[in-house]
Amino acid sequence: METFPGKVILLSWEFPPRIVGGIASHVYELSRNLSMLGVDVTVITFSSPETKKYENIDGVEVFRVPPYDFPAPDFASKILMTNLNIKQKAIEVLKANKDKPKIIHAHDWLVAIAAISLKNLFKIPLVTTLHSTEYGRANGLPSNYNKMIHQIESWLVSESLKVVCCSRYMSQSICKEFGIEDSKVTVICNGINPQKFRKKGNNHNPGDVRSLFADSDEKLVLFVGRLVSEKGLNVLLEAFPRVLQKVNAKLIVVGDGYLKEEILKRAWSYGFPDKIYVTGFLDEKILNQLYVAADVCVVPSLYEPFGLVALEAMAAKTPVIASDVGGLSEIVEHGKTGIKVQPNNPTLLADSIIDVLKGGKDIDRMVKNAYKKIVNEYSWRIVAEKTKNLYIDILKCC
Amino acid sequence: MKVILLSWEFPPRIVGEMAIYVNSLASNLVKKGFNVYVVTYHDSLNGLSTCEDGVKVFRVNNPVDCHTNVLTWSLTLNGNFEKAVVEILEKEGSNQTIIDAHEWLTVSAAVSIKKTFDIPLIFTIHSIEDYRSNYAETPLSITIKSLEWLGIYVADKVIVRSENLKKDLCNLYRVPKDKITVVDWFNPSWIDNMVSLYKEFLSKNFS
Repeated sequence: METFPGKVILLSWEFPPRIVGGIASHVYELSRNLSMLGVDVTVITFSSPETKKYENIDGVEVFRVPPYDFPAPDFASKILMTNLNIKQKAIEVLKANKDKPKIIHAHDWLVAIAAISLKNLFKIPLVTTLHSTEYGRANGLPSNYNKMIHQIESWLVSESLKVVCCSRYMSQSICKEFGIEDSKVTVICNGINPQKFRKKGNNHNPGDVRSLFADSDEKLVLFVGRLVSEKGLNVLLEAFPRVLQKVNAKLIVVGDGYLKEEILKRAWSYGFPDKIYVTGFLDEKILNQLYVAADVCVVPSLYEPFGLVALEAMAAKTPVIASDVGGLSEIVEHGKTGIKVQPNNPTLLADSIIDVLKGGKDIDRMVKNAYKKIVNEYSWRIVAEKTKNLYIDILKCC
Repeated sequence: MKVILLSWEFPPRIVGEMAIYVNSLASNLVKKGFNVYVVTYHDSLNGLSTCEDGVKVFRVNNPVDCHTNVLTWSLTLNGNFEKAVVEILEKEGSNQTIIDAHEWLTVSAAVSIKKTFDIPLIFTIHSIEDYRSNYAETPLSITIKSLEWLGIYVADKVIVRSENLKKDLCNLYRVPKDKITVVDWFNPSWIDNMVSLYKEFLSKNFS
């Protein structure tokens, strides 16, 4: 194993126990696994009332600085002000490590101005991971605010030596949105920790999580995601009556969003109000058990930069049916690790669900392949190895 | 002896009287034998140039031109201010250097340059947010005041133009009186006062 002589400063606006979205667990797993590979990692992040100012987690140094907590004109102003605190702490850390080669690794625009400053003040290379882009999140750039965030992202990209993203699909979007060459972008998929999901067959007693959501004679169809149109839940709702004609099933919808009311109305009008359960957000532990308990996990997205839900189902050894879009297309190989369907096609989707629930003959093999794929390609160790190699390449060329 | 002045306005870009003041300060300092740089904003004239009076001006644009308020505008601009200062220090070294930052609009860059390079920082305040906003407590004014406080807190010396402003700063931000020096720009000896003030901090060993 090649050693890494430098120090990496990871900047992130969230880190456990402060969890806002998906970046916290990403940076947590990445930094721990980098440290296990012998990389000297320091994380600088925002604090919250319950956090410690300094911690050493499995060899990772974590510094937390207070967020700007006075009233501010908007979310971005608050974030940029907090970046001043991140910057000051990072300056101390960088000055204390004068002799080592160093790399700054920023996660999303939320730490952009601190990352850019440090790169320029200390003349050290900057790597940026873009977990998503404003263009994708806001579905275009409808307001001045969205344009500002997009330009901050664009500035961050231009100051970075390398940009990391989670799928080829995202890489294409980034090149198009920011007008950069694809040689600047490295695709490193997100990782997943399969140990989070208990093995099927173990601990399946009546008090188990399954009975909280469905009758014992009902097949459990799982949807996980924000209830927004691009996640394609409407397609699944249209497909579901056709499924119910053939199989006794229950649709569990985990997540929240502006479509919640409409979903419940539609379930009524399609005649299956008793066959759908919208749970809202769930505790991670319960959700993980639900992944294991489900008979099929459906990811009917119309837009999907990565597709973490499909990976989680695969890690939980649950069959996956996913639409053929974005990052999902890259994760699910049709007939091998899951079933891919044309997006926005309820009939095809329904037939695939029926096939899986009736125990189609290849399902077991697909589930095994999918799990193998998770372990071989999506473990955090592999993500960390790829990231470490990127760091090594960067130090070689600087 | 090198002085780097940070200002959001400098001729030909003149917004208020600060541009005139910084211009006059810079050109008088050259006459007194200082190596003077002004780092400032301009949206189209970018890069380093030398004026007839010997003042070196480094103009940068704002990397982000779409903004929701003047605060976010200043914070992204300061990223390019830092870049310009680093370029100057790389060329000329950071020994015998002092930064004089003007107004809250340059605080973000001034603070990180001081901390990174251990350069003494003078913070010159022409007017405060409470005067401009008539003591408004809007989120924007509160945030700008936070930057004023940060600049005052981190600076080695604060310069103001009047005893009144000094008194208000002491009350508002709880600044020790000795940290603030009043320099009256209408006094014929003001430039000599500035020179001795700079020299006092240049002689201190900060590293």
